[in-house]
Amino acid sequence: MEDLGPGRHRSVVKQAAEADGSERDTGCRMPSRPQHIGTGHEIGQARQAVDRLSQPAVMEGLAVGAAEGKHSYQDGTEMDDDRADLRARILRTAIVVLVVAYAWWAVARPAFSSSATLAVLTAGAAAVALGALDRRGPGRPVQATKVARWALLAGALGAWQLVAYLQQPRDDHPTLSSLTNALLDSHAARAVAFVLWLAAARELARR
Amino acid sequence: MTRLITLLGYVMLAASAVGLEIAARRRGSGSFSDAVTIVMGRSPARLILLATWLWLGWHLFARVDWR
Repeated sequence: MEDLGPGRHRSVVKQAAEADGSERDTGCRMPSRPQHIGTGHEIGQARQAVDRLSQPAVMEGLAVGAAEGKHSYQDGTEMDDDRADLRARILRTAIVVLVVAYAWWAVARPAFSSSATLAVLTAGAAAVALGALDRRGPGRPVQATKVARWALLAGALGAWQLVAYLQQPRDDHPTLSSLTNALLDSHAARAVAFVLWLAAARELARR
Repeated sequence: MTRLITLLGYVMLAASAVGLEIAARRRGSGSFSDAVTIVMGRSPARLILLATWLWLGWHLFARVDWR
């Protein structure tokens, strides 16, 4: 490389530029732009480009891209997949935005009002219905005895909650509900909790 | 003092739940997810759990005066 003449320099630089273009098509990692290194920088840039292209990670990326045929859009298949992916992503984003906006609105309804009840139960029922429509298939079998401890724990939690609930004052005997009230004091926290509640309802109904 | 005891009870129950989950994952079965799947596989329990979940949301988001 030390003995490269001016013509050979231009050839190497051109080859490096062409290699960049092929990488763009294959979706592989692009090497970073050569840095300016002062006088005689053309030789330096050409050497940097060649050195970077010869790095194992870059070469591996080029090979993988070529093997998967990502550079070929002639049959139109990959284009269709890309469009479908983009459409699905846009749809998912739109649903998330709508749900968050609805949650923000729903938790702002006056407490104990019928509009609050309607807003919460309608969304909850919709989440359950969506989950039920998208039920999972039977998973691996689980022995009921192996999850008995969870039943015991649920029973203990219920008993502890009941003991606290039956005693006064509430400050001295907080229930899960009164503790949650403190946690969900801000509008944003309530909206987030509402979205999580909806997601859990859908997930429950899928099982 | 009684508040502290009540809160300690909740913390111990939460720690037990975390311990159970970790142990179940190491064993490879008996996780919280497995327990929920078993309950949801039985129609009456499924209905009760879903109704309870809806009630919880109604209680938290419609029956509490935040202002």
